[in-house]
Formats: sequence, C-alpha cells, structure tokens
Amino acid sequence: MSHRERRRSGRPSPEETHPGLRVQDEDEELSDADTHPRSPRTPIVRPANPTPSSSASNSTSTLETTADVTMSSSPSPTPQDTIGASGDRTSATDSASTVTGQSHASASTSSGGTTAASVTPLWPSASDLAQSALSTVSPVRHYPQLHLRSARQQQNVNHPRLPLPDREDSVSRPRSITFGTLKKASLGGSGASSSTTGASGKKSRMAVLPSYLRQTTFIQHFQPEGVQPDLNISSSGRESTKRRRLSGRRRHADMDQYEDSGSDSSGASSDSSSGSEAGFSSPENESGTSTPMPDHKPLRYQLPSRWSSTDKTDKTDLLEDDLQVFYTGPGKEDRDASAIRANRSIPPQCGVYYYEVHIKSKGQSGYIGVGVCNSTVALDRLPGWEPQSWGYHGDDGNSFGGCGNGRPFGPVFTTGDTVGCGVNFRDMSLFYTKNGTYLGVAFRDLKGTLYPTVGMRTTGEILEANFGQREFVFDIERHVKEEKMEAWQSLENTLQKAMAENNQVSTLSQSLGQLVLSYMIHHGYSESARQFSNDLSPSQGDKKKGSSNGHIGLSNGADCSAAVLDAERRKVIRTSIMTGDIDKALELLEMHYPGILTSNEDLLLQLRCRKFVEMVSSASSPLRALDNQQRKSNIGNGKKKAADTADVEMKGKNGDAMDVDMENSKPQKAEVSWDDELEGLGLLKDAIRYGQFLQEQYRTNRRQSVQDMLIDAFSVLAYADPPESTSAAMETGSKSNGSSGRSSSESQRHASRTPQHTHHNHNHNHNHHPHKQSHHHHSHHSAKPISRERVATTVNTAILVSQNLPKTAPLETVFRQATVGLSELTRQGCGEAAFFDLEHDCFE
Amino acid sequence: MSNSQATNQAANAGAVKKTITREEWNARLSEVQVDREDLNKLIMNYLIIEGYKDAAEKFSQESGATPPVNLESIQDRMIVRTAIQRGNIEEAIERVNDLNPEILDTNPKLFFHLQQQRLIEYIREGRIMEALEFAQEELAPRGEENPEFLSELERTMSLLAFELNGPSPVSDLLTPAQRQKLASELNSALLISQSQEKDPKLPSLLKMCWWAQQQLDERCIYPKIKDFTRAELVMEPMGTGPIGGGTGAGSASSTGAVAGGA
Repeated sequence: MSHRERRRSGRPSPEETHPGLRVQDEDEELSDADTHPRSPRTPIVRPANPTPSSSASNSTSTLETTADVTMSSSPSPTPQDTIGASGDRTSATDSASTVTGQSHASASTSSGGTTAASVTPLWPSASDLAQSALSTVSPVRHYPQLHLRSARQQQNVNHPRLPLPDREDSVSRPRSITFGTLKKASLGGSGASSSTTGASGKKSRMAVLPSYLRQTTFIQHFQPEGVQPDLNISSSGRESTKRRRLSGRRRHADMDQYEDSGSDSSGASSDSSSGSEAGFSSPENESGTSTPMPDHKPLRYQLPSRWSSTDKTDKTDLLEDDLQVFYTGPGKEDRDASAIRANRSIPPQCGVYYYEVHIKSKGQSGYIGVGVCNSTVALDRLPGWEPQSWGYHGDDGNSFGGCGNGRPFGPVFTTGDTVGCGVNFRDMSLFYTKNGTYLGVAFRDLKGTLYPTVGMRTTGEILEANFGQREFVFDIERHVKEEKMEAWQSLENTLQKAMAENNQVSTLSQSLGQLVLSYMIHHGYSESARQFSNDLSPSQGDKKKGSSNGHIGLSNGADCSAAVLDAERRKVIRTSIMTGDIDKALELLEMHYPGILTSNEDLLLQLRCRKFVEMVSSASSPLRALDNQQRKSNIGNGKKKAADTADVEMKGKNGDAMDVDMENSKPQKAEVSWDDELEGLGLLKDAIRYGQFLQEQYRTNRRQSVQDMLIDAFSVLAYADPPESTSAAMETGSKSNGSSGRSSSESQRHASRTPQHTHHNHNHNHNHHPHKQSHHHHSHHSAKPISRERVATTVNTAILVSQNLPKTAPLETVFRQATVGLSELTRQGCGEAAFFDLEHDCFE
Repeated sequence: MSNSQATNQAANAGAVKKTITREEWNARLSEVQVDREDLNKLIMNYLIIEGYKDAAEKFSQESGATPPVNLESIQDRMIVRTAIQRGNIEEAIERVNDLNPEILDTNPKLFFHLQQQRLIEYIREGRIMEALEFAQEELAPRGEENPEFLSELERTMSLLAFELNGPSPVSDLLTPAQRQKLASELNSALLISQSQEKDPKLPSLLKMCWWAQQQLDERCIYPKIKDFTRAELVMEPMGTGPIGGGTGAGSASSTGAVAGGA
C-alpha cells in the first residue's frame, strides 16, 4: 500500500509523459478513486457546478479544492443542467472527477506548488476524457433502464402470472432508483463527451465472458464491463437460483433476456459506482458483516481486462488499448526493473484464470517476467523477486517464487513467443504455457489477492496481453474441462476416503434409494412408491438387519407399506382437490386424519375458501356457456353484440340484475340457454349462501391472514370470469387489492391489442374457439390449477406435519442445501466451487 | 484493498469461523426455487438409468414426467438388476453373457465383483464348503492377477470368521447395499455397452451437497445435513463425521445450539 502511494504521489508532472498516456491515467484513477468514500466530497463539488468559468480560478485557493473545482467544472456542465439533474443526481460523475482531482492535487503537493500552475492547462482536456470514459459506460446504464421498464410491462402484459413475486419487485425497486440517478449522471457525461468519443473506444474492456470460463459456474457470477448487457450475455449473468425461478427456462428465453438486461445493468451500475478495481467487492462486504439477507445481493465479479495505468512505475508505458506495455526506463541494472499489474485482481470464484502475454519485442536482453502478485508487491522488481509474487522469466526460463533465486522451470522465451499464465484456484497453483504448449505447474500454495503482472528490465521490450478478449493460443477450454473432471475425481476420492474412515460403504448410494422413495411418498406418488420399494428389496424376507436406521416408514416392509398407504390416501385427497371436489377432500380428511381439520384453522379455511370459489365458478360456467352462445349468434352484429356481452357480464357480477338483462338478450337466445341460466342462478345462490356462512363463521376472527384469505375468495364475485380472477387473487396471496391489479393488467393487455374496444375485442377472440374459452384464459393466467395446487399442497403438508414427517421431501432439502452451500462457498471465494454446477450437472 | 486481502486470507486460513445462524440459513434455503418438474426429471432419469422399469412407468403416470427413452429398452437391464438384488448371481451372469459376452470379458473388475458376490451369497446361505471351493478355484487365481482383488477376497473370506448376524468389521458385505452397489456397477457396464449415458444425475446432486458441506465445515458453522436419508438440518459446534449414517435420530433434535469457532 505504502509502496503504491509512493508511486502515485511520486508520479511525474504531466510534461514528463505523453498527453495521451496521461489521459488514460485519468481513466484509471476514476475506477481507482471510486473506491474512496464519496459522499463527503460531493458537497464540495456542487457549489462549483453552476460556475463553469471557475477553472480560471484554480490557482487561487488551496491545492485540493482547486483540483475539485477544476475537475468538476471543466467538463462543460451544461448537459447536466439541461438534463435537469440536480447536484445529487450527478454525484456519480462528479465524485469520480472530484477524487481524480484530489489525487492530482496530492501529486502536485508533493512536487511543489509550482507544478500546480503548469498542470492546470492540461486538466480540462484530461477531465473531458475522464468524462468520456465515464460516458462510454453510460449508454449501458441508460439503455437497460428503458429495457427494464419495458420488460416489466411486458411481463404484465404477456405473462401476467409468471412468478415475479413481490420480493422481486421490492428488490428491484431500490435498484432502479440508484439506477435512475446513475442514468441521469451518465447522460450528462455522454453529452459532455460527444465531441471526444474517439478516445473511448480504445480501452480494452471485458464485456464478454471468456469462453473457457463458461465451463464453470462463474458464468453465473460474471459481471461484464461496460457493454450493453442484452447484446452480449443472455443467461450468463444470473444466479442459478434466480435462473431456476423461471421454470421453463427455454420457453421463456425472451423473458430471460429482459430480466437479464435489467439485473445486469443494475449490477453494472452499482458496481462501477461503488468502485470495481478489486474484482470482488461483494465477498469483502459479505465476510465483513453477518447481514441477514445476503442472498439478495447478486454475486457478481469482474475480471482483469487491461493493464492498470496507475499500478505501474514511470519506467513503463502503455499504448492506447492498455494491453500493450513497453519499457521506457534506462534498463541498466536490476533496480531499473519495472512491473505492472492488471486493473483488477482475479476473482477466485472463476476456478481457473488464464491470460497470455505476447512478446512483441524482447528489446535489448529480454529480461521479461510473467506471473501474478499481490497488490502490495513493489513494482520496481520483476515478478517473482518479492514475496507474494510469482513469475516465469524469459531470459533464463527460470521460475521465481518470492525470492531472487530462480529455479529452472521451462524454456526461455523471446520475441514472437506467447506465454500463458494460469491460476488454478482449486489448489492455488500456477501453471504456464508457451506458444500453446502446456509447461506444467510452476508454483503451488499461492496466497492472497492475485493480480496478473508482467515486468521488464531492458530497453525496447514490448509486451501485449490478452486477458480473454481474443482467442488464446493455448487450448484453455480443454484444460478447464479436464480440471472440472479432476475436481469431480477428487470429490469422489475424498468421498470414498470419508466413507472408508467411517466404515460406511456406499451410504450415499444407499441414501439415494431412500431419498427417491421418500420423495415419491411425500408427493403422494403411491403407485410408484410401492413399485419402487419392491424393486429396492425384491425379496423382503431375506433382509439382513441392514444399516437402515429407524427411519419412519422406509426401513422395513410393514412400515413401508403403511407409508405407501398413507401416500395413497394423500394422493386421492389431492386428486379430489385438483378436480375441484372439495367436499370429497374434506370428507376424506376427516375419515383418514380425524381431528386434522379442527386442529388446523388455516387448513380448513383454505379448503372452505376454495370450495366457495369452486361453487362460484361452477355457477358461472353455465352462465358463460350462455354468454358464448349468445355471441355466436351475434357474429357480424357488432354493436348489438357489444351491448349484450356487457349485460351478460353484469349477470355474472351480480345475479340480481337479471331481469334487465334478460329483456335485452331474449331475442337471440336458444332455449338451452334458459336452462343454463337457471341452473347457473341456482348454483350461484348456493354459492352465495355458502359465502354468507363463511362470513358468519369467521366474522369474529381478527387475524389479518384469515380476513385476507376471505377477501381474496370473495373477490371472485366481482368478476364476470371467476376462475380467472379467483386464481389471480389467490395467487397474489395476501394481497387484498388483487382485484385492481388484475383489472389494470387486463386492460393493459387489451390496450396492447386494440385500444378502442377492450372487452369486445377480447370476447371476439373467443368466438372462434368457443369451447376453448377457458383454455384461452388460462394460457394467459393459467392460475386456476395453481390455486387448487396451492390448496392441495397445503393439505399435503398439513397431513405430513400431523404425522411428524418433514414438510419438504428430504430430496428437496438436499437440493436446497446444495444450492445454498455452493453459493456460500462462492461467496467466501472458494475457487473449486466453480466446478460444481448444480444446474448443469444435474438438470441438463 | 488491503482490507479485502485480509478478509480473504482469514477466510482461507479459517482462523475465525463465521457462524451462520439457523434463521439466516433457513431464509436462504427457502429462497431457493425448486422446480418440481426438474426434480421429477431427475428421479425419472435415476429410475431409467438404474433400470427400475416398472417404477419408472408408474412414476411417469403419476408425476407426468415423460421418460426420455422407450421404457421397454430397459427391460433387460432390469432383469439383471433384479437377479442381483435377489442374490441370484449366476442368473445375472448368464443374462449378461446372453446380452453381450464381451462385457464381462473386457471388465475383469466387474467380473471379480460378481464372483465375489457369489461367494458372499454362498456364505450367507451357509454353504461353507461350496464357498471355500469356489474361492479357491475361481477367485484366488484372479487375486493373483491383481493385488487389489486379493485384499478384497481376503476381506470377504473373513466373513467366515464371524457370526453371520452378529456385529463384525465386514458385516457391510451382507447388507442389501452391497448387492445394490454391484447391481449399479453391472448396470452401468450394460449401459456403456449400449452406448448410453451411464451415470444417473441424482447421485451428483448428493455428492455436490456433501462436498459443499465438507468445504463449508472448514470455513464456517452452519446448519448441515448429517444424515442424507433424512436430510434434517443439524447445527453442531464443530464439523465431525462427514456423513452420519445410523445416528440420525439422536442428533437430529439438537437444534439451535451454536458454539464458538476453532
């Protein structure tokens, strides 16, 4: 740290270096500076904002404030103002430039007051470019913002019942606020930079995940750098858990895309605003605190993408893309050595990290070292000479691991060669390649936070790095595949060893059968369970004691068949709920599980509510059939039809309004419709009577959840189309105003088709497939079976709990445990975890 | 960044073990979206690859999961499996040779395991003389080929030294699990010979879970699954045995207790 500080403060005044390189320094400092706490600085900036002319006054005040003023005011603040962003809004831009200014100020301080004056003229352009560097990111931030919205709308419109629970909203809302501010800030930046866009494209960025890392779970954790996310990554950048939420992953591919662009971009914005030089800011925060909701935070990590323009010495310079680096020092003796680090550290989460260095010129003697090192290692030494530094040197082919004495390792390398350097985070080893040939492991037990590094020592040396932006010479993909197999092999080995130690032969494989069986039993797949338990031990007689513990229902034949019998019962109950026969379910429950209904208030309530819903919907289906028929006969009779439809819908809403309706609709009706209507009315009356009974029953119950449940159930009556609306209400769970939500989403849906006629148009569609009406509805909401499903699941769980069986199937618990465990390992920076991919290894 | 380094190293060294409370862990668990369809597929895959044809059929009917292959094609494998699980090794060997004689010819290890199981079955049935004869004639020569086989043979023979139903260091050889293991081994050989996928995915899930727990044990304290059959989460002071087999019932209730680090 102190070393770096010295370097930075000792940095020469601008005259010493090319202006072009200075410019890149600015950019680097931005990201560097981002890590500084920014809030205290912002207030200083803001007063400067409204006075663009203040750049002239820089030399008057103290150096530091001068810098602030200069930096913040020089990048023509007009765009910001026109955008209408307040001082707060632009804080991202401002603070970035502020800190840049500050570090310059400190540079000037150390080199004396005279420098300040000479520095000043350069600054406006430098900061312009700093701004433009910011602005290259800006389209990203602002683009997805739009996408985010459209995605959300789209979800409402096309897939209203896709599982986007409240949680999702509550998470994304605060995000989009940050996002919005950043967007405005960056808009200001883009305005300012429009004249200087040329410089921005040359920086090397890590926008796409290098293909070799797609073999690992890092694909879920990669944070692309400054690129429109929806163009480059589809489903790469999301947590597996999240990905799994959309069960039909492929079916909803476009949805994925939208969600991604939303989450990625917000990730990008938050990341770059909170500083990203350390590739993994999240684990830092994570391990520091034991916050209760870490899973909401996305696990995102950036990769090194170019050489740092600050983390170097003055004996090294960069070309514009920051990938080519050349030696400018005297090159006389060892203390003339000069190393450079990449702009970010390597996140261990990637499992294996690889980069290549092409020797463009060996210069005088080719004293070139390639390797990795910690951030604190002095940069006036070649890689490997210092502790926490590891390098492979071209002049002698030796490897240096933390001391000045090398060990013979590989061939020498010189002009035209490509040297690859790979960190294996499984065992913390470092391997090298030369011109695509694997050279072997040079070091083990690497420690600390690692940065790619190269060092040079003699005049004329030029290197060019490839951090994965281009194809590698070495077939690293295959290497990673092999590494993954190795990881699995070592898993198997440790597993075998552990089992041998515990004298438990194949406990896991034995658990498998039991897990499958308990899964079947849990979900009431009774036939499968019976068959499978027979298959597991075909001859029940000759069973030796076995190691099966006293696990309920699974260890011996009698228990097992009892469990299967129970599963059978649960299955029948489930089936009756799923077919809407709640009465039968209630009866069966009382018969097989006496007392369960009285002891479980919520269970009974859910069943009753569902029963009410079923009654209403069965009452409404004859009415709807009638409705259809009517419309059928109305084809080609536009206006009349519209009127009628409205009436029939009214009927559904409140059966009292019947008389009026009938007059209107009579002429077109066939006699069957009359019967339907009467039947529907009768059923509706029953339903309402039952509803009143429910009201009576629960009137005194003050529990909010109970009242919500009732309200949800009764909201059925408010709609012409009960099955649909019910389910919508049921689905939103305790949301009491589910009604308004639904209607708005529905109207949006219609609006998207033909804004003029809402219901009319909707019904018109049904005319073509009258008998498929309900299907049509469900294709949009498809919620009716879900809500039955929910009740069925509640009942199933309640029965299981009443028998002291686990609420979730053990297999499911194992799956959850594996998911959370692996994600926690990733969080803690365990590189090996990158090779174990639940999604890929289990479900593809 | 020195800060990040410090925390990183601390995590690596495991100097201070972080504790993740049961509440937090449960919250994370409940956040995992479990797709029933996916799990059904996983089970279906297991049933098919392991050759449980009838169960796969029933499961397909009840769960709606569609079998990825024609179920008839697993009939042969199922017959072989059933034979093994009944302890009828001769029949299994015959069947396999009917299907494809090369399987056992090219698979000395598998063939040895089959013969070993035959020996076990002799011993189980108390046919001691036959067992001895069989061991000397069939197994011993193979043991000479491969020292690994020899030690396994010796271990098997030591069954004779113990009461069949009493506790012994080799009693695991008499469990149904031993037969299941062999059945699976033979099954994957058959699958390979039919150039089909040989490993079900379900074990991978368990192994990954187990591995993640192993790794986490070094780093933090958290509710873990000790007995994979029951899959109950247990909070324990220090990571002890990797997989609890028989002691599940007792330790399962010791929840909530959190103890300090290393």
